[in-house]
Amino acid sequence: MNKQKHILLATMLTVVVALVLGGCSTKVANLSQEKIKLGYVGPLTGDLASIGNDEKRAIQLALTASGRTDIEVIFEDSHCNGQAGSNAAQKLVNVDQVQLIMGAGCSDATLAMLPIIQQGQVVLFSSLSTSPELTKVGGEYFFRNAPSDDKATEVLAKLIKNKKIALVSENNDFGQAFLNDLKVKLAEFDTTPVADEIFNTGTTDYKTILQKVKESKAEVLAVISNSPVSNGLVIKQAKELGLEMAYYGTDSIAGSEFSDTAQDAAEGVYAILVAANTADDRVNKLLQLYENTYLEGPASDAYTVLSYDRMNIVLKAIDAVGYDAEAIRNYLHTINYDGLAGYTSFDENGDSSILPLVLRFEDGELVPVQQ
Amino acid sequence: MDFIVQLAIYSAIASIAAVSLNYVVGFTGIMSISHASFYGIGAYGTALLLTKTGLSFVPALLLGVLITGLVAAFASVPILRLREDSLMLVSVGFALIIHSLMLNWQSLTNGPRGVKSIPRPEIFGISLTDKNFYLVLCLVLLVLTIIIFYKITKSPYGTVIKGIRENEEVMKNYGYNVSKYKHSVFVLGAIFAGLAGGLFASYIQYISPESFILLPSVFMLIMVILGGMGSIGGSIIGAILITVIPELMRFAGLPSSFAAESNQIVYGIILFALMYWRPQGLFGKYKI
Amino acid sequence: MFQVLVNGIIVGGIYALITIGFNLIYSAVRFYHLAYGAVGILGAYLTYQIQKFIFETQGGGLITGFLFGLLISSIVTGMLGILIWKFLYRPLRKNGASNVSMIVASFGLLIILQNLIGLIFGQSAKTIRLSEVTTQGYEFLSASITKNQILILIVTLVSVFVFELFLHRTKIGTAIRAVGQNSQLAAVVGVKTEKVIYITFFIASFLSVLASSLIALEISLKPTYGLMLILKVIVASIIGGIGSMRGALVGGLMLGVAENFGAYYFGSQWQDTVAFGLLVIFLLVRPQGLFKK
Repeated sequence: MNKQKHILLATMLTVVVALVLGGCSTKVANLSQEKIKLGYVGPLTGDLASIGNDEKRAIQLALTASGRTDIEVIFEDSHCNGQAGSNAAQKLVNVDQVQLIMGAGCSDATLAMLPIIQQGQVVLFSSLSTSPELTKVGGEYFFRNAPSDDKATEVLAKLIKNKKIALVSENNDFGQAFLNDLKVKLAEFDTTPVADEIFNTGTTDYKTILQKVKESKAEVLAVISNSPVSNGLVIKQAKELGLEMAYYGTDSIAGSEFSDTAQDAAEGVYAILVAANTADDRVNKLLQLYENTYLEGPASDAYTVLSYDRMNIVLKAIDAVGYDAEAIRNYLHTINYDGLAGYTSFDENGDSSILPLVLRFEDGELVPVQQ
Repeated sequence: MDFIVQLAIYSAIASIAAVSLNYVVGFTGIMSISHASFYGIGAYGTALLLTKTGLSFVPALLLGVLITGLVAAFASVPILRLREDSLMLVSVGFALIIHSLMLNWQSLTNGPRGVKSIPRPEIFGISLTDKNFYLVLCLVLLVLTIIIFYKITKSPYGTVIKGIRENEEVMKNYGYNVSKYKHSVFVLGAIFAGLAGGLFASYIQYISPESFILLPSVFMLIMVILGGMGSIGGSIIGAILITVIPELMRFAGLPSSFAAESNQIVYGIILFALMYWRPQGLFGKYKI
Repeated sequence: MFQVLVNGIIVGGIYALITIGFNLIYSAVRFYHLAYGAVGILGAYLTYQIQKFIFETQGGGLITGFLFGLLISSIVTGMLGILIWKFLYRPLRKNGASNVSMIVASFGLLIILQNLIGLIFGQSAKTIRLSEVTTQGYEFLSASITKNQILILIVTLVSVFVFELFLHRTKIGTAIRAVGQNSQLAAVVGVKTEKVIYITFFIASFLSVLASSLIALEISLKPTYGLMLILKVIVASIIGGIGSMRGALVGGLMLGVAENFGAYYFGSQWQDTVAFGLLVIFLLVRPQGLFKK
């Protein structure tokens, strides 16, 4: 019994000491340096980890490029999970006392964080959340430069209306919200898809889905997934099966992870993208800088660009009105920023003005298409 | 401060789940990996009732718990026909099937988009949106859970279950309806897991199938194994450690380029080390 | 329709290939080496790295790079397999760990390996390819199948055949089974149990790299694949009979075909339900699997 009591005491002591130390160390840090602390919460592990890492690297690149030494970003992993995301947010708000958090990615985390940032009156600025539902539930402290999928579905619906359409979507928040929105918009053009297949996250074998697509005699295949690998595998396997149709994908198409997976099968694929306009020289410079610094291309060009813009927008806001959530919030509603993703301004719901572009893979490069 | 209160709330909720799992796995010896599924069913039940019907918190929570119990009763029939590693596997299969239902039964659960804007409780007209009040609620329920399970394990009923753990065949020879006892243990454990799930849903205010796949069940098992099989206090310590340590790691100042993976590696090492050095866990009476 | 069957066979072949090694290890040590999937994937990452090195800096061809990488990483991973047994599993066994303990420990090891892979190689998917161009598969009775897929099926069938013979007709094979059934008795009779287990882990880990590298040609590599594969392997081995080579083949094929027909008729989102539904059914109705061991 004695030994057990010792273990019990030791454990409790460790926990208490760690918490106190943790609290202390940050307080000391706050006192000794005058650095402005910003928070970041994103999927650094888990399904969207490659994109989360892109976001983080983009922020670091932007910060380095700005030459600012008085700004520090505290990176926290959301584990793509509500509980961890809410803890990350709570820690940043309470312990690090940030006024602004850049994040999140997975909807689980973003939605779990909303009550916390609302209560803490801290700005949450996302470059990855595209669910149309966030327009309504985001709240006054939520901003995003990633456009609501509302816009992407509109562009896509206009492009593929009145054709025989096959939809292949991922069974997650992004995929299903997008899918439903798209079907609503297609219905407005009196178009009903001839095939509607849903796959679970992490699926690697799409051949049977593609068989059903083949049997539906569709002329157009739209892949709705935020995983570059899934997009790549669908298109690669479609080519191996000899399917002849026009392919459309969304923003995870731009990036090395998709290109590596799909290789030459990507030729001719259309992408409804929110950023990474390679006609813009600044975008190319950023992508090159990324590759030079990290020895590999971004998994997703689009989100890298958005995250880079985000950091710069935040810097601009801090310079203009100081580091205060209320001031930044009001400021964000007034800006019209000339970013790498386009001119960015925010409406009353915190949604950005960025519109998706239509691009096409030609000779291994994504080029804009005239509409 | 709020951060600590939040950690305390999650720890309390995890403790309720861990204590109930300890009852099933540690005390009775039923190696179930589907506990998080019952946690999830409780969460969904409560969440859907709170958002889709006009029910207030207490009835929604109770109904959610009842639903969990019913599902558990139904599931226990196939699951409890097996032993040891087969039982483990079948419970894994069950957990994944429940997850699939949460994901795909869209008309009921809203699928991957989850249930949003779950309200915080309002009990007898008092709104419990404040974290500190919510913590009190969780602690009260935790104490209740501890008392219930403690009383059970010390009762004659508990003695029979201990006997089943040691040697089922002998107990059968004595004339005990072993099957009935095991079923009741399984269902009771699931009910409290559902309770924890309901508390979770109302606190975090958004749930989706993602929160309830395999890993949470594994975490709960780790809590019980770490804390010690058969020990109620141990399970609570295990729950606190597993809930709090990953958050403490945020302060460890590891460069974020590998903090996330290191976190998980630590879990793996804990599991392995436990099995090697102390398979009965920190305070356990029984080995796995 | 026929295409769906072919799809099931192709994917089933993939499952079976990994299940063979898993079952081989089970034959010798009688517990589930859950980390096995991650070991294979780690080896495949090594193959990728070596092929990349040869292709990009040494001017070698893609295929030569692949074969060279495959050879080296298989041997290295084979050795890793032995180390895992010697320094991780055996001490646990010696301590008197129960089967459930071993599963939990193996799962801990799986998590460690998976995250090590993420740390070393990054979370982005890595692609291994044999040619610069994606080619359409061969058309055969209205179904399509690619060169790589045919290769996987051939390797699977050959492996099943070879290992079946190995386990049942060679001295070492019999020794492996003996050690699995009763290691103390085997030692008494003069079987060098340690050496036998080393050989088993080496061969199985070697095979896992071969399998995973071939699979990577189809679906690229991500750190999470280790877990994904081993879950399927468990289902396949329960269906086919844990420890049986033939069972690995049949179990894998049945799983693959069931998944694909399930996807075709119910929708792909129900695919996992089908797989785990099968697991539950077999565990309840025929837990020893189709081929008793």
